[in-house]
Amino acid sequence: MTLLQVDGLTVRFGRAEVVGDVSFALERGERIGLIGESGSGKSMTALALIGLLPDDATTEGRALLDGDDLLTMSESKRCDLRGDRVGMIFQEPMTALNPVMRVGNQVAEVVRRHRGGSKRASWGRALELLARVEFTDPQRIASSYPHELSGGQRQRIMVAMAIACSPALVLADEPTTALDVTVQAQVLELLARLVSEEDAALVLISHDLAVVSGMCDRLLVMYGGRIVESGPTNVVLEQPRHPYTVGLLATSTAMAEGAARGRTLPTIRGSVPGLGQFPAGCVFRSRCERATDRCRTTPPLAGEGHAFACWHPVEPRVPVGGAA
Amino acid sequence: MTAAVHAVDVPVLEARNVSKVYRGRGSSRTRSEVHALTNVSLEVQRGESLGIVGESGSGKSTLARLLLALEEPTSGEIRFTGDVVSGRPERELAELRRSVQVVFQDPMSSLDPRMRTRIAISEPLRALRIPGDHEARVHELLDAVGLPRDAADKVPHEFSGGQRQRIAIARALAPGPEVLLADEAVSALDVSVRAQVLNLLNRLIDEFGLTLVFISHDLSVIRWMCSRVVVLYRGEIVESGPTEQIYEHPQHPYTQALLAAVPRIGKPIGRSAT
Repeated sequence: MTLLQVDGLTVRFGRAEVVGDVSFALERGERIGLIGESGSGKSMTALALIGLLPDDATTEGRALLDGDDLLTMSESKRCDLRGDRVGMIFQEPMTALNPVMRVGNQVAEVVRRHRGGSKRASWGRALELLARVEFTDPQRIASSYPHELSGGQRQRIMVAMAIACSPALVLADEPTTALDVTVQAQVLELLARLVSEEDAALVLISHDLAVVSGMCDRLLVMYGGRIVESGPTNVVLEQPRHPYTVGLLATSTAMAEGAARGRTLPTIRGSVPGLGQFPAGCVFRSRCERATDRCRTTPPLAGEGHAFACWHPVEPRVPVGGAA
Repeated sequence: MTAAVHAVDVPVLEARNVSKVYRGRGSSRTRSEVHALTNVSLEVQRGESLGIVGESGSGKSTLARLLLALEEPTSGEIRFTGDVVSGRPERELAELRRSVQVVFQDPMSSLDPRMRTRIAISEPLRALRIPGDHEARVHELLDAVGLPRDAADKVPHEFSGGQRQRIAIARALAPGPEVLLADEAVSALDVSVRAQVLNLLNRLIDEFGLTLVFISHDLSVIRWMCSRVVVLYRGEIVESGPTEQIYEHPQHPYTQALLAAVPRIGKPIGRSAT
Protein backbone atom coordinates (compact mmCIF):
# COMPACT_ATOMS: atom_id res chain seq x y z
CA MET A 1 0.00 0.00 0.00
CA THR A 2 1.33 3.40 -0.99
CA LEU A 3 2.44 5.59 1.88
CA LEU A 4 3.99 8.46 -0.01
CA GLN A 5 3.19 9.47 -3.57
CA VAL A 6 5.36 12.22 -5.04
CA ASP A 7 4.24 13.61 -8.40
CA GLY A 8 6.15 16.16 -10.45
CA LEU A 9 7.93 17.74 -7.50
CA THR A 10 9.80 20.81 -8.69
CA VAL A 11 11.72 23.23 -6.47
CA ARG A 12 12.99 26.58 -7.70
CA PHE A 13 15.02 29.42 -6.26
CA GLY A 14 14.03 32.33 -8.46
CA ARG A 15 14.51 30.94 -11.96
CA ALA A 16 17.05 28.32 -10.94
CA GLU A 17 15.49 24.88 -10.77
CA VAL A 18 17.12 22.68 -8.10
CA VAL A 19 14.64 19.82 -8.24
CA GLY A 20 12.86 19.04 -11.49
CA ASP A 21 9.81 16.86 -12.01
CA VAL A 22 10.63 14.29 -9.35
CA SER A 23 8.06 11.51 -9.06
CA PHE A 24 8.17 8.34 -7.02
CA ALA A 25 6.02 6.23 -4.78
CA LEU A 26 7.00 4.72 -1.47
CA GLU A 27 5.20 1.69 -0.09
CA ARG A 28 4.62 1.15 3.61
CA GLY A 29 7.73 -0.24 5.23
CA GLU A 30 9.76 0.17 2.05
CA ARG A 31 13.24 1.66 2.06
CA ILE A 32 14.37 3.84 -0.76
CA GLY A 33 17.74 5.48 -1.19
CA LEU A 34 18.28 8.80 -2.89
CA ILE A 35 21.80 8.81 -4.21
CA GLY A 36 23.50 11.78 -5.80
CA GLU A 37 26.47 14.11 -5.68
CA SER A 38 26.41 17.75 -4.59
CA GLY A 39 23.89 19.74 -6.59
CA SER A 40 21.84 16.65 -7.41
CA GLY A 41 18.82 17.99 -5.53
CA LYS A 42 18.57 15.06 -3.14
CA SER A 43 18.56 17.15 0.04
CA MET A 44 16.20 19.74 -1.44
CA THR A 45 13.80 16.91 -2.26
CA ALA A 46 13.86 15.83 1.38
CA LEU A 47 13.46 19.36 2.71
CA ALA A 48 10.52 19.95 0.36
CA LEU A 49 8.80 16.82 1.69
CA ILE A 50 8.97 17.99 5.30
CA GLY A 51 8.35 21.64 4.56
CA LEU A 52 11.74 22.90 5.65
CA LEU A 53 12.82 24.60 2.42
CA PRO A 54 14.21 28.12 2.73
CA ASP A 55 11.56 30.84 2.40
CA ASP A 56 12.64 31.95 -1.05
CA ALA A 57 12.05 28.54 -2.58
CA THR A 58 8.92 27.79 -4.60
CA THR A 59 7.49 24.34 -5.18
CA GLU A 60 5.25 22.69 -7.72
CA GLY A 61 3.73 19.24 -7.84
CA ARG A 62 2.26 17.06 -5.14
CA ALA A 63 3.57 14.87 -2.35
CA LEU A 64 0.81 12.89 -0.76
CA LEU A 65 1.43 11.19 2.55
CA ASP A 66 -1.60 9.00 3.20
CA GLY A 67 -3.57 11.41 1.04
CA ASP A 68 -2.39 14.66 2.71
CA ASP A 69 -0.38 16.95 0.44
CA LEU A 70 2.86 17.77 2.23
CA LEU A 71 3.59 20.65 -0.13
CA THR A 72 0.43 22.65 0.49
CA MET A 73 -0.58 21.81 4.06
CA SER A 74 -0.51 24.51 6.72
CA GLU A 75 2.57 25.01 8.85
CA SER A 76 0.71 24.00 12.01
CA LYS A 77 -0.35 20.77 10.39
CA ARG A 78 3.21 20.16 9.29
CA CYS A 79 4.37 20.67 12.86
CA ASP A 80 1.90 18.01 13.96
CA LEU A 81 3.39 15.71 11.36
CA ARG A 82 7.10 16.23 11.97
CA GLY A 83 8.32 14.01 14.76
CA ASP A 84 5.04 12.11 14.75
CA ARG A 85 4.19 10.43 11.44
CA VAL A 86 7.47 11.59 9.93
CA GLY A 87 10.75 11.23 11.81
CA MET A 88 13.84 13.07 10.62
CA ILE A 89 17.57 12.62 10.99
CA PHE A 90 20.07 15.08 9.58
CA GLN A 91 23.79 15.01 8.97
CA GLU A 92 24.84 17.27 11.79
CA PRO A 93 23.15 16.43 15.12
CA MET A 94 25.00 19.30 16.76
CA THR A 95 22.90 21.79 14.79
CA ALA A 96 19.69 19.78 15.11
CA LEU A 97 19.92 19.48 18.91
CA ASN A 98 19.43 22.33 21.35
CA PRO A 99 22.85 22.91 22.93
CA VAL A 100 21.50 24.20 26.26
CA MET A 101 18.91 21.51 26.93
CA ARG A 102 19.56 18.07 28.40
CA VAL A 103 19.13 15.47 25.68
CA GLY A 104 16.63 13.51 27.76
CA ASN A 105 14.35 16.56 27.82
CA GLN A 106 14.71 16.93 24.08
CA VAL A 107 13.61 13.36 23.49
CA ALA A 108 10.83 13.77 26.06
CA GLU A 109 9.68 16.96 24.38
CA VAL A 110 8.99 15.10 21.13
CA VAL A 111 6.87 12.58 23.01
CA ARG A 112 4.95 15.22 24.96
CA ARG A 113 4.41 17.45 21.91
CA HIS A 114 2.70 14.65 20.03
CA ARG A 115 1.41 12.28 22.69
CA GLY A 116 0.82 14.57 25.63
CA GLY A 117 1.21 13.20 29.15
CA SER A 118 3.07 14.41 32.21
CA LYS A 119 6.67 15.48 32.29
CA ARG A 120 7.46 12.49 34.44
CA ALA A 121 5.80 10.07 32.02
CA SER A 122 7.51 11.52 28.96
CA TRP A 123 10.87 11.47 30.76
CA GLY A 124 10.31 7.79 31.46
CA ARG A 125 9.47 7.23 27.82
CA ALA A 126 12.66 9.10 26.83
CA LEU A 127 14.70 6.70 28.98
CA GLU A 128 13.08 3.74 27.23
CA LEU A 129 13.89 5.26 23.85
CA LEU A 130 17.50 5.85 24.86
CA ALA A 131 17.74 2.20 25.84
CA ARG A 132 16.33 1.24 22.47
CA VAL A 133 19.13 3.13 20.71
CA GLU A 134 21.53 0.97 22.72
CA PHE A 135 22.64 3.26 25.51
CA THR A 136 23.46 1.03 28.44
CA ASP A 137 23.10 3.91 30.91
CA PRO A 138 20.07 5.92 29.70
CA GLN A 139 19.85 7.82 32.99
CA ARG A 140 23.30 9.37 32.62
CA ILE A 141 22.90 10.05 28.89
CA ALA A 142 19.49 11.69 29.42
CA SER A 143 21.04 14.13 31.88
CA SER A 144 23.83 15.07 29.48
CA TYR A 145 24.06 18.08 27.22
CA PRO A 146 24.79 17.50 23.52
CA HIS A 147 28.39 18.75 23.76
CA GLU A 148 29.13 16.11 26.38
CA LEU A 149 28.37 13.34 23.91
CA SER A 150 30.32 12.03 20.93
CA GLY A 151 29.12 12.48 17.37
CA GLY A 152 27.88 8.91 17.21
CA GLN A 153 26.04 9.24 20.53
CA ARG A 154 24.39 12.47 19.36
CA GLN A 155 23.25 10.78 16.18
CA ARG A 156 21.75 7.94 18.23
CA ILE A 157 19.82 10.60 20.17
CA MET A 158 18.49 11.83 16.82
CA VAL A 159 17.47 8.29 15.93
CA ALA A 160 15.64 8.02 19.27
CA MET A 161 13.78 11.25 18.55
CA ALA A 162 12.96 10.15 15.00
CA ILE A 163 11.31 6.92 16.13
CA ALA A 164 9.82 8.32 19.36
CA CYS A 165 6.25 8.36 18.04
CA SER A 166 6.44 5.25 15.84
CA PRO A 167 6.49 7.17 12.55
CA ALA A 168 5.23 5.77 9.28
CA LEU A 169 8.15 7.43 7.50
CA VAL A 170 11.73 8.17 8.54
CA LEU A 171 13.67 10.68 6.46
CA ALA A 172 17.42 10.45 6.97
CA ASP A 173 19.60 12.97 5.14
CA GLU A 174 23.29 11.92 5.17
CA PRO A 175 22.83 10.58 8.72
CA THR A 176 26.31 9.08 9.00
CA THR A 177 28.38 11.24 6.67
CA ALA A 178 30.05 13.13 9.52
CA LEU A 179 30.84 9.97 11.48
CA ASP A 180 33.90 7.74 11.55
CA VAL A 181 33.51 4.53 9.61
CA THR A 182 33.31 2.26 12.67
CA VAL A 183 30.67 4.52 14.25
CA GLN A 184 28.84 4.80 10.95
CA ALA A 185 28.47 1.03 10.84
CA GLN A 186 26.89 1.01 14.33
CA VAL A 187 24.47 3.83 13.59
CA LEU A 188 23.39 2.33 10.26
CA GLU A 189 22.74 -1.07 11.80
CA LEU A 190 20.78 0.58 14.58
CA LEU A 191 18.75 2.63 12.13
CA ALA A 192 18.04 -0.40 9.95
CA ARG A 193 16.91 -2.45 12.95
CA LEU A 194 14.65 0.23 14.47
CA VAL A 195 13.04 1.19 11.17
CA SER A 196 12.17 -2.43 10.64
CA GLU A 197 10.93 -2.90 14.24
CA GLU A 198 8.68 0.14 13.84
CA ASP A 199 7.58 -1.04 10.41
CA ALA A 200 8.41 2.43 9.14
CA ALA A 201 9.32 3.34 5.60
CA LEU A 202 12.74 4.92 5.09
CA VAL A 203 13.98 7.55 2.70
CA LEU A 204 17.75 7.52 3.03
CA ILE A 205 19.66 10.28 1.31
CA SER A 206 23.37 9.88 0.76
CA HIS A 207 26.24 10.51 -1.61
CA ASP A 208 27.62 7.09 -0.62
CA LEU A 209 26.50 4.35 -2.97
CA ALA A 210 27.68 1.61 -0.62
CA VAL A 211 25.61 3.02 2.25
CA VAL A 212 22.35 3.43 0.33
CA SER A 213 22.70 0.17 -1.54
CA GLY A 214 23.31 -1.69 1.72
CA MET A 215 20.30 -0.14 3.43
CA CYS A 216 17.65 0.20 0.74
CA ASP A 217 15.31 -1.96 -1.34
CA ARG A 218 15.14 0.55 -4.13
CA LEU A 219 17.43 3.29 -5.44
CA LEU A 220 16.68 6.64 -6.99
CA VAL A 221 19.75 8.05 -8.69
CA MET A 222 19.62 11.83 -8.88
CA TYR A 223 21.65 14.20 -10.99
CA GLY A 224 21.04 17.88 -11.69
CA GLY A 225 17.79 17.90 -9.73
CA ARG A 226 16.29 14.98 -11.63
CA ILE A 227 15.87 11.29 -11.11
CA VAL A 228 17.95 9.80 -13.91
CA GLU A 229 17.50 6.15 -12.94
CA SER A 230 15.42 4.20 -10.46
CA GLY A 231 14.79 0.60 -9.68
CA PRO A 232 15.30 -2.27 -7.24
CA THR A 233 18.76 -1.96 -5.67
CA ASN A 234 20.20 -5.16 -7.14
CA VAL A 235 18.91 -4.36 -10.62
CA VAL A 236 20.37 -0.84 -10.63
CA LEU A 237 23.69 -2.17 -9.32
CA GLU A 238 23.88 -5.10 -11.72
CA GLN A 239 22.34 -3.58 -14.82
CA PRO A 240 22.70 0.17 -14.68
CA ARG A 241 21.41 1.78 -17.88
CA HIS A 242 21.92 5.53 -17.44
CA PRO A 243 25.46 6.61 -18.34
CA TYR A 244 25.72 8.60 -15.11
CA THR A 245 24.83 5.59 -12.95
CA VAL A 246 27.23 3.45 -14.99
CA GLY A 247 30.04 5.99 -14.48
CA LEU A 248 29.37 6.36 -10.77
CA LEU A 249 29.34 2.59 -10.28
CA ALA A 250 32.48 2.08 -12.35
CA THR A 251 34.44 4.55 -10.23
CA SER A 252 33.15 3.22 -6.93
CA THR A 253 33.65 -0.44 -7.70
CA ALA A 254 37.10 0.03 -9.26
CA MET A 255 38.30 1.70 -6.07
CA ALA A 256 36.74 -0.94 -3.84
CA GLU A 257 38.41 -3.70 -5.86
CA GLY A 258 41.82 -2.12 -5.38
CA ALA A 259 43.62 -5.45 -5.87
CA ALA A 260 43.15 -5.72 -9.62
CA ARG A 261 43.89 -2.07 -10.19
CA GLY A 262 45.73 -0.38 -12.97
CA ARG A 263 46.86 3.14 -12.34
CA THR A 264 43.82 4.84 -13.81
CA LEU A 265 40.37 5.02 -12.28
CA PRO A 266 37.36 5.25 -14.55
CA THR A 267 36.01 8.78 -14.30
CA ILE A 268 33.09 10.89 -15.43
CA ARG A 269 34.51 13.79 -17.42
CA GLY A 270 34.01 17.40 -16.38
CA SER A 271 32.46 18.45 -13.11
CA VAL A 272 29.03 18.96 -11.64
CA PRO A 273 27.72 22.30 -12.96
CA GLY A 274 26.84 25.03 -10.47
CA LEU A 275 23.32 25.95 -9.40
CA GLY A 276 21.18 26.76 -12.44
CA GLN A 277 24.05 25.88 -14.83
CA PHE A 278 22.83 22.45 -15.89
CA PRO A 279 22.13 22.15 -19.62
CA ALA A 280 18.59 22.25 -20.97
CA GLY A 281 17.29 18.90 -22.13
CA CYS A 282 19.11 15.99 -20.53
CA VAL A 283 20.87 17.43 -17.47
CA PHE A 284 23.81 15.04 -17.86
CA ARG A 285 24.53 15.67 -21.54
CA SER A 286 27.38 18.17 -20.90
CA ARG A 287 29.37 15.33 -19.30
CA CYS A 288 28.04 12.39 -21.25
CA GLU A 289 30.12 10.42 -23.76
CA ARG A 290 26.98 9.25 -25.53
CA ALA A 291 25.23 12.61 -25.91
CA THR A 292 23.81 13.59 -29.31
CA ASP A 293 21.52 16.34 -30.60
CA ARG A 294 18.57 14.30 -29.48
CA CYS A 295 19.62 14.90 -25.85
CA ARG A 296 18.61 18.56 -26.18
CA THR A 297 15.13 17.23 -25.52
CA THR A 298 14.55 16.07 -21.95
CA PRO A 299 14.30 12.28 -21.91
CA PRO A 300 11.39 10.91 -19.86
CA LEU A 301 12.03 8.62 -16.91
CA ALA A 302 10.65 5.53 -18.63
CA GLY A 303 10.31 1.91 -17.61
CA GLU A 304 8.29 -0.28 -15.30
CA GLY A 305 10.10 -1.09 -12.07
CA HIS A 306 13.51 -0.24 -13.48
CA ALA A 307 13.33 3.18 -15.13
CA PHE A 308 15.92 5.48 -16.68
CA ALA A 309 15.84 8.89 -18.32
CA CYS A 310 18.13 8.48 -21.30
CA TRP A 311 17.85 8.48 -25.09
CA HIS A 312 20.98 6.35 -25.45
CA PRO A 313 21.00 3.97 -22.50
CA VAL A 314 23.95 1.68 -21.90
CA GLU A 315 23.25 -1.92 -22.89
CA PRO A 316 22.59 -4.14 -19.89
CA ARG A 317 25.68 -6.08 -18.87
CA VAL A 318 23.83 -9.38 -18.68
CA PRO A 319 20.65 -10.29 -20.52
CA VAL A 320 17.64 -9.29 -18.47
CA GLY A 321 16.35 -12.46 -16.93
CA GLY A 322 13.97 -12.83 -14.06
CA ALA A 323 15.76 -10.12 -12.01
CA ALA A 324 13.40 -7.15 -12.50
CA MET B 1 65.95 18.35 -9.22
CA THR B 2 68.71 19.59 -6.98
CA ALA B 3 68.37 17.01 -4.25
CA ALA B 4 71.71 15.90 -2.90
CA VAL B 5 72.73 12.32 -3.44
CA HIS B 6 72.04 10.16 -0.43
CA ALA B 7 72.49 6.53 0.24
CA VAL B 8 69.42 4.64 -0.96
CA ASP B 9 68.35 3.65 2.51
CA VAL B 10 68.22 7.13 4.02
CA PRO B 11 64.51 7.87 4.32
CA VAL B 12 63.45 11.16 2.82
CA LEU B 13 61.21 11.77 5.85
CA GLU B 14 61.38 10.02 9.16
CA ALA B 15 59.67 10.17 12.54
CA ARG B 16 61.65 8.65 15.39
CA ASN B 17 59.78 7.91 18.63
CA VAL B 18 57.69 10.98 18.18
CA SER B 19 55.18 11.98 20.85
CA LYS B 20 53.01 15.05 20.96
CA VAL B 21 51.20 16.20 24.06
CA TYR B 22 48.89 19.22 24.04
CA ARG B 23 48.49 20.78 27.45
CA GLY B 24 45.40 22.68 28.47
CA ARG B 25 45.44 25.77 30.63
CA GLY B 26 45.47 25.73 34.43
CA SER B 27 47.89 24.75 37.12
CA SER B 28 50.02 21.65 36.79
CA ARG B 29 47.53 19.80 38.96
CA THR B 30 44.29 20.70 37.18
CA ARG B 31 45.23 21.14 33.55
CA SER B 32 44.27 18.52 31.05
CA GLU B 33 46.68 16.79 28.75
CA VAL B 34 45.89 15.37 25.35
CA HIS B 35 48.31 12.74 24.14
CA ALA B 36 47.86 13.26 20.40
CA LEU B 37 50.72 10.98 19.41
CA THR B 38 52.66 8.41 21.42
CA ASN B 39 55.98 6.95 20.32
CA VAL B 40 55.33 7.03 16.63
CA SER B 41 58.13 5.92 14.34
CA LEU B 42 57.90 5.74 10.58
CA GLU B 43 60.11 6.08 7.55
CA VAL B 44 59.15 7.45 4.18
CA GLN B 45 61.41 6.08 1.46
CA ARG B 46 62.11 8.09 -1.65
CA GLY B 47 59.65 7.27 -4.44
CA GLU B 48 57.17 5.32 -2.34
CA SER B 49 53.53 6.08 -1.66
CA LEU B 50 52.84 5.80 2.04
CA GLY B 51 49.30 5.90 3.39
CA ILE B 52 48.49 7.01 6.90
CA VAL B 53 44.99 5.95 7.83
CA GLY B 54 43.02 6.67 10.96
CA GLU B 55 39.70 7.93 12.28
CA SER B 56 39.11 11.23 14.03
CA GLY B 57 41.31 11.57 17.09
CA SER B 58 43.86 9.10 15.72
CA GLY B 59 46.52 11.80 15.51
CA LYS B 60 46.91 11.66 11.74
CA SER B 61 46.69 15.40 11.25
CA THR B 62 49.05 16.04 14.15
CA LEU B 63 51.50 13.66 12.51
CA ALA B 64 51.12 15.60 9.26
CA ARG B 65 51.94 18.87 11.01
CA LEU B 66 54.99 17.33 12.66
CA LEU B 67 56.27 15.85 9.39
CA LEU B 68 55.84 19.28 7.79
CA ALA B 69 57.74 20.86 10.72
CA LEU B 70 54.80 23.14 11.37
CA GLU B 71 54.87 21.96 14.96
CA GLU B 72 57.51 20.55 17.27
CA PRO B 73 57.16 17.09 18.76
CA THR B 74 57.06 16.98 22.58
CA SER B 75 59.67 14.25 22.39
CA GLY B 76 61.39 12.32 19.65
CA GLU B 77 62.55 13.78 16.38
CA ILE B 78 61.60 14.37 12.78
CA ARG B 79 64.31 13.89 10.16
CA PHE B 80 64.42 15.10 6.61
CA THR B 81 66.94 13.27 4.37
CA GLY B 82 68.68 12.14 7.52
CA ASP B 83 68.99 15.55 9.16
CA VAL B 84 67.10 16.36 12.33
CA VAL B 85 64.64 19.17 11.69
CA SER B 86 62.84 19.30 15.04
CA GLY B 87 64.08 22.15 17.18
CA ARG B 88 65.81 23.91 14.31
CA PRO B 89 65.08 27.59 13.61
CA GLU B 90 62.94 28.41 10.58
CA ARG B 91 65.88 29.85 8.61
CA GLU B 92 67.54 26.44 8.63
CA LEU B 93 64.48 24.73 7.20
CA ALA B 94 64.65 26.22 3.69
CA GLU B 95 65.39 22.92 1.98
CA LEU B 96 62.56 21.14 3.82
CA ARG B 97 60.14 23.95 3.01
CA ARG B 98 60.93 23.62 -0.68
CA SER B 99 61.08 19.85 -0.84
CA VAL B 100 58.06 18.88 1.20
CA GLN B 101 54.80 20.38 0.01
CA VAL B 102 51.26 19.84 1.19
CA VAL B 103 47.73 19.72 -0.19
CA PHE B 104 44.96 20.09 2.38
CA GLN B 105 41.33 18.99 2.31
CA ASP B 106 39.58 22.24 1.63
CA PRO B 107 41.09 24.48 -1.05
CA MET B 108 38.48 27.12 -0.20
CA SER B 109 40.25 27.71 3.10
CA SER B 110 43.82 27.10 1.90
CA LEU B 111 43.53 29.48 -1.07
CA ASP B 112 43.14 33.23 -0.57
CA PRO B 113 39.67 34.05 -1.97
CA ARG B 114 40.90 37.31 -3.53
CA MET B 115 44.14 35.99 -4.98
CA ARG B 116 44.27 35.30 -8.70
CA THR B 117 45.46 31.84 -9.63
CA ARG B 118 48.75 33.06 -11.15
CA ILE B 119 49.65 34.81 -7.88
CA ALA B 120 48.53 31.85 -5.74
CA ILE B 121 50.57 29.34 -7.74
CA SER B 122 53.70 31.49 -7.95
CA GLU B 123 53.57 32.63 -4.32
CA PRO B 124 55.73 29.75 -3.03
CA LEU B 125 58.34 30.63 -5.67
CA ARG B 126 58.57 34.16 -4.33
CA ALA B 127 58.40 33.10 -0.70
CA LEU B 128 61.21 30.60 -1.19
CA ARG B 129 63.15 33.04 -3.41
CA ILE B 130 63.30 30.59 -6.29
CA PRO B 131 64.66 32.42 -9.34
CA GLY B 132 63.38 31.97 -12.89
CA ASP B 133 60.48 32.90 -15.12
CA HIS B 134 57.55 32.56 -12.74
CA GLU B 135 54.97 33.32 -15.41
CA ALA B 136 56.22 30.48 -17.58
CA ARG B 137 56.27 28.19 -14.55
CA VAL B 138 52.62 29.02 -13.80
CA HIS B 139 51.64 28.05 -17.35
CA GLU B 140 53.64 24.85 -17.13
CA LEU B 141 51.90 23.95 -13.87
CA LEU B 142 48.41 24.78 -15.17
CA ASP B 143 49.11 22.44 -18.09
CA ALA B 144 50.38 19.77 -15.73
CA VAL B 145 47.22 19.81 -13.59
CA GLY B 146 44.91 20.00 -16.60
CA LEU B 147 43.60 23.55 -16.21
CA PRO B 148 43.27 26.00 -19.11
CA ARG B 149 45.76 28.86 -19.15
CA ASP B 150 43.06 31.47 -18.74
CA ALA B 151 42.55 30.04 -15.26
CA ALA B 152 45.57 32.15 -14.30
CA ASP B 153 43.50 35.31 -14.13
CA LYS B 154 40.61 33.93 -12.15
CA VAL B 155 39.92 33.81 -8.41
CA PRO B 156 38.97 30.68 -6.39
CA HIS B 157 35.20 31.12 -6.37
CA GLU B 158 35.15 31.00 -10.16
CA PHE B 159 36.21 27.35 -10.04
CA SER B 160 34.51 24.11 -9.04
CA GLY B 161 35.78 22.17 -6.01
CA GLY B 162 37.79 19.80 -8.19
CA GLN B 163 39.37 22.66 -10.12
CA ARG B 164 40.29 24.43 -6.92
CA GLN B 165 42.01 21.29 -5.69
CA ARG B 166 43.95 21.22 -8.98
CA ILE B 167 45.10 24.77 -8.25
CA ALA B 168 46.17 23.73 -4.75
CA ILE B 169 48.14 20.86 -6.31
CA ALA B 170 49.78 23.16 -8.88
CA ARG B 171 50.78 25.50 -6.06
CA ALA B 172 52.26 22.63 -4.09
CA LEU B 173 54.25 21.49 -7.13
CA ALA B 174 55.54 24.98 -7.96
CA PRO B 175 58.79 24.80 -5.98
CA GLY B 176 59.62 21.36 -7.39
CA PRO B 177 59.14 19.30 -4.24
CA GLU B 178 60.35 15.75 -3.67
CA VAL B 179 57.57 14.87 -1.27
CA LEU B 180 53.90 15.63 -1.62
CA LEU B 181 51.90 15.29 1.56
CA ALA B 182 48.16 15.05 0.94
CA ASP B 183 46.05 15.53 4.06
CA GLU B 184 42.47 14.39 3.21
CA ALA B 185 43.11 15.99 -0.17
CA VAL B 186 40.12 14.41 -1.93
CA SER B 187 37.75 13.94 1.01
CA ALA B 188 35.59 16.96 0.19
CA LEU B 189 35.17 16.03 -3.47
CA ASP B 190 32.28 14.23 -5.12
CA VAL B 191 32.98 10.66 -6.23
CA SER B 192 33.17 11.44 -9.96
CA VAL B 193 35.55 14.35 -9.41
CA ARG B 194 37.57 12.53 -6.76
CA ALA B 195 38.53 9.87 -9.31
CA GLN B 196 39.81 12.58 -11.66
CA VAL B 197 41.98 14.14 -8.96
CA LEU B 198 43.35 10.75 -7.87
CA ASN B 199 44.27 9.97 -11.48
CA LEU B 200 45.93 13.37 -11.74
CA LEU B 201 47.93 12.75 -8.56
CA ASN B 202 49.10 9.36 -9.84
CA ARG B 203 50.14 10.88 -13.16
CA LEU B 204 52.05 13.70 -11.44
CA ILE B 205 53.77 11.24 -9.11
CA ASP B 206 55.08 9.34 -12.14
CA GLU B 207 55.88 12.45 -14.14
CA PHE B 208 57.80 14.27 -11.40
CA GLY B 209 59.06 11.25 -9.50
CA LEU B 210 57.29 12.38 -6.35
CA THR B 211 57.20 10.64 -3.01
CA LEU B 212 53.64 10.59 -1.66
CA VAL B 213 52.44 10.68 1.92
CA PHE B 214 48.68 10.29 1.76
CA ILE B 215 46.75 10.89 4.95
CA SER B 216 43.09 9.94 5.02
CA HIS B 217 40.23 8.39 6.92
CA ASP B 218 39.09 6.80 3.65
CA LEU B 219 40.36 3.26 3.42
CA SER B 220 39.49 2.76 -0.23
CA VAL B 221 41.34 5.89 -1.34
CA ILE B 222 44.41 4.82 0.64
CA ARG B 223 44.25 1.37 -0.87
CA TRP B 224 44.09 2.81 -4.35
CA MET B 225 46.93 5.27 -3.90
CA CYS B 226 49.48 3.68 -1.57
CA SER B 227 51.90 0.79 -1.66
CA ARG B 228 52.44 0.82 2.10
CA VAL B 229 50.07 1.69 4.92
CA VAL B 230 50.37 2.81 8.52
CA VAL B 231 47.26 2.45 10.69
CA LEU B 232 46.93 5.00 13.50
CA TYR B 233 44.63 4.55 16.45
CA ARG B 234 44.48 6.93 19.40
CA GLY B 235 47.89 8.36 18.64
CA GLU B 236 49.69 5.08 18.17
CA ILE B 237 50.64 3.02 15.18
CA VAL B 238 48.79 -0.25 15.61
CA GLU B 239 49.80 -1.85 12.34
CA SER B 240 51.86 -1.13 9.26
CA GLY B 241 52.90 -3.00 6.15
CA PRO B 242 52.40 -3.43 2.42
CA THR B 243 48.92 -2.33 1.39
CA GLU B 244 47.69 -5.67 0.11
CA GLN B 245 48.89 -7.46 3.22
CA ILE B 246 47.11 -5.01 5.52
CA TYR B 247 43.88 -5.12 3.56
CA GLU B 248 43.86 -8.85 2.92
CA HIS B 249 45.28 -10.08 6.22
CA PRO B 250 44.90 -7.42 8.89
CA GLN B 251 46.52 -8.58 12.13
CA HIS B 252 45.51 -5.98 14.70
CA PRO B 253 41.92 -6.15 16.01
CA TYR B 254 41.45 -2.45 15.33
CA THR B 255 42.50 -2.77 11.69
CA GLN B 256 40.18 -5.74 11.38
CA ALA B 257 37.27 -3.78 12.88
CA LEU B 258 38.03 -0.78 10.68
CA LEU B 259 38.06 -2.82 7.49
CA ALA B 260 34.95 -4.74 8.48
CA ALA B 261 33.07 -1.47 9.06
CA VAL B 262 33.61 -0.14 5.54
CA PRO B 263 30.31 -0.32 3.70
CA ARG B 264 30.56 -2.19 0.43
CA ILE B 265 28.36 -1.86 -2.60
CA GLY B 266 25.74 -4.57 -2.53
CA LYS B 267 26.54 -5.72 1.01
CA PRO B 268 23.32 -5.51 3.05
CA ILE B 269 23.44 -3.52 6.29
CA GLY B 270 21.52 -4.73 9.35
CA ARG B 271 19.22 -7.02 7.38
CA SER B 272 20.44 -10.43 8.33
CA ALA B 273 16.89 -11.19 9.49
CA THR B 274 15.32 -11.04 6.04
